[in-house]
Amino acid sequence: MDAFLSATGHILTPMPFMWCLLGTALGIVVGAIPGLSGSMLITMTVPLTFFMASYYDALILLVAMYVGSVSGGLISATLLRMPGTPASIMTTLDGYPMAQRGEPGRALGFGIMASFVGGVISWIFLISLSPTLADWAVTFGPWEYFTMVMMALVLIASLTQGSMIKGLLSGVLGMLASMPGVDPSTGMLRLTFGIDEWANGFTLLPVLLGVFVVSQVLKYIINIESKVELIEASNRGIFMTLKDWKRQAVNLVRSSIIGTWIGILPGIGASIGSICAYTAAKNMSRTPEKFGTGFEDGIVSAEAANNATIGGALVPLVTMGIPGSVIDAILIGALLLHNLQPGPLLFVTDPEVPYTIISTHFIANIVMLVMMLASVRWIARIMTVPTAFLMPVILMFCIIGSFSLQNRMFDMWVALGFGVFGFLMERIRIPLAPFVIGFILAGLAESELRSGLMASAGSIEPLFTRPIAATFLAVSVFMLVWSFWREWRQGRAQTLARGEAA
Amino acid sequence: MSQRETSAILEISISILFVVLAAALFVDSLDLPESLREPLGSSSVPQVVCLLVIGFSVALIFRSARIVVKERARRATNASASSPQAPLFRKRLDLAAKVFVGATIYVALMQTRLLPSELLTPLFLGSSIIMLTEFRRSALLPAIVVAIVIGLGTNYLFTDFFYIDLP
Repeated sequence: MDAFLSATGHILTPMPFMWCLLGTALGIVVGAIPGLSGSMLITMTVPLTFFMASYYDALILLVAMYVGSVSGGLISATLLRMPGTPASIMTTLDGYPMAQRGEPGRALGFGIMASFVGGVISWIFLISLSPTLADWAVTFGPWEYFTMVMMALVLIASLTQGSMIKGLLSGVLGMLASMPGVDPSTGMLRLTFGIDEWANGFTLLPVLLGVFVVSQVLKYIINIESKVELIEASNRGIFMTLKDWKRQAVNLVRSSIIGTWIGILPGIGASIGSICAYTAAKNMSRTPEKFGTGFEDGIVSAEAANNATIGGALVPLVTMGIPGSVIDAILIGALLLHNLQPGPLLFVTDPEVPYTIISTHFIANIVMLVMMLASVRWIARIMTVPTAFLMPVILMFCIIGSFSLQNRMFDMWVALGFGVFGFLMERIRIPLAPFVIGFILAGLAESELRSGLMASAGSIEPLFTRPIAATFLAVSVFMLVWSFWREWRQGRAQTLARGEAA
Repeated sequence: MSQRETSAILEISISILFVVLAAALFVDSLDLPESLREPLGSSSVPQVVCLLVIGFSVALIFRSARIVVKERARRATNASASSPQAPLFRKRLDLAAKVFVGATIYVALMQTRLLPSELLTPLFLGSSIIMLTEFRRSALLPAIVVAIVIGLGTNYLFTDFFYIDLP
């Protein structure tokens, strides 16, 4: 409790609060601009935080950006029918039609309020679950960590849009990319082909910058000629009435809880949360046919859930050092950059770090609400920055940002190389999220597996006899089998449909 | 050729690249010595991961090859099928390639240290923006202004604010 109050008090002092304001504002603006995403912004900012005086301020800035960017996607989803971030895909279905029929302010208002409520409800789960889960996670041994990482990879491969094989391929490619360099257990050089620069392997940030940012820049340049129609933003009807609150109460709470629990599952992020909540709202609605026509229930369910996933995803991050989403994976990179070891022991060794993250999440939600209600009309104007001007600037930041961490030219080439790699993966619809999770967690999985085998004299029996490890393994196997079966069924249905059409 | 067939061929090509990459890493890992102290050693996990990459890539190749065969058979039997819908806008792979080559030259010149980054960064920005606006006269002046302001501003930010020595 003392650490929580101390962290909250620190954030409310002038300089840290300024970082919170700046982070939220930048996150909202970047989240609103189609072509940019929170993961891009946070990845580009992490190298700069290395030079900040305090790592608490760095965490405040990054978590505030996280909250802002997920919320900001609502603006372009509603006014442009283009989700500013993947988390806002479902918001386009009802936000844009409502804006089109002359109620953009009302659409934005529902989204902003729902985002705030989703954030607050998930924060309640975050603050109440984290200390207990951290205590529980301290009892984890190497087998539990190994099976949890495998479960995270399988979950994200199976629940990401697209083919299961491609999701798994992405995950193992990420693991493979992390292996050249020094073996963490023996200190031996491996898979370097004798190239000196590979002795330290591929550093996390240049890889992230390449895969997430450079590849997206190339993709948006290719689509530079796509035209978008912008609906003028308005503040009319932006505040929900008491009647609206009463009507949406159940939807808000249900969608927030769905989003929070989806977020807690390792590796899965806001887009899946909003899809699940939207689907649930539609299935439970008395008027499901209204979904997709500019129905407020659709906007509320999508936005409450996608913001709720932030708090949920922070739970495994602060308690176990396992990313709840791709952005959390980047936050792990930030923690490591500042010599902080993510995991349950952080609550013991430096409790102000997890509580800074937890408190920032809450305060940033309040800041987001005020900022978006007050300035959504002006933020909407920034969305039309021409791609031709924006993309070269972002590419330049990636290149210089890659260099800035270790002053190595090699890192610039890594960013460009992985940019092409990420671009090729996306061209054939291999999802990038499992790649990043695999890259970040491979080292942990390998070292825990080898520690476990050393402790058990080479036997894998603890995988099946230790209850928690066995549970994680069972979930992984179940998800693998279920996902392949589901894909096979969908493929069969599509083949039959094509046969009938012919 | 249908879009499905083109995508499948692209999938096959890129999957072959993954197989070659994983095979090269697998062969390199064979030189790693066995461990005396622990059951796995440095090579086991990389080898398993390489084999998984190869396995999934081969599965993808087979799946894509089946799609190519089916699409070709469909084309052969259904010659009067309607042509695919024209895209709503032109895809500019050429522009992306040019900007990427520009970025490569930018990094290569920084590596040679023939020119300082204060000069190279605005040059890269300006040339990229001008290429992307396709040399439109109306965009020339804004491109130059943005290139100078952001290029020099970024250099100042990194060197004098963050104290990072840029090349």
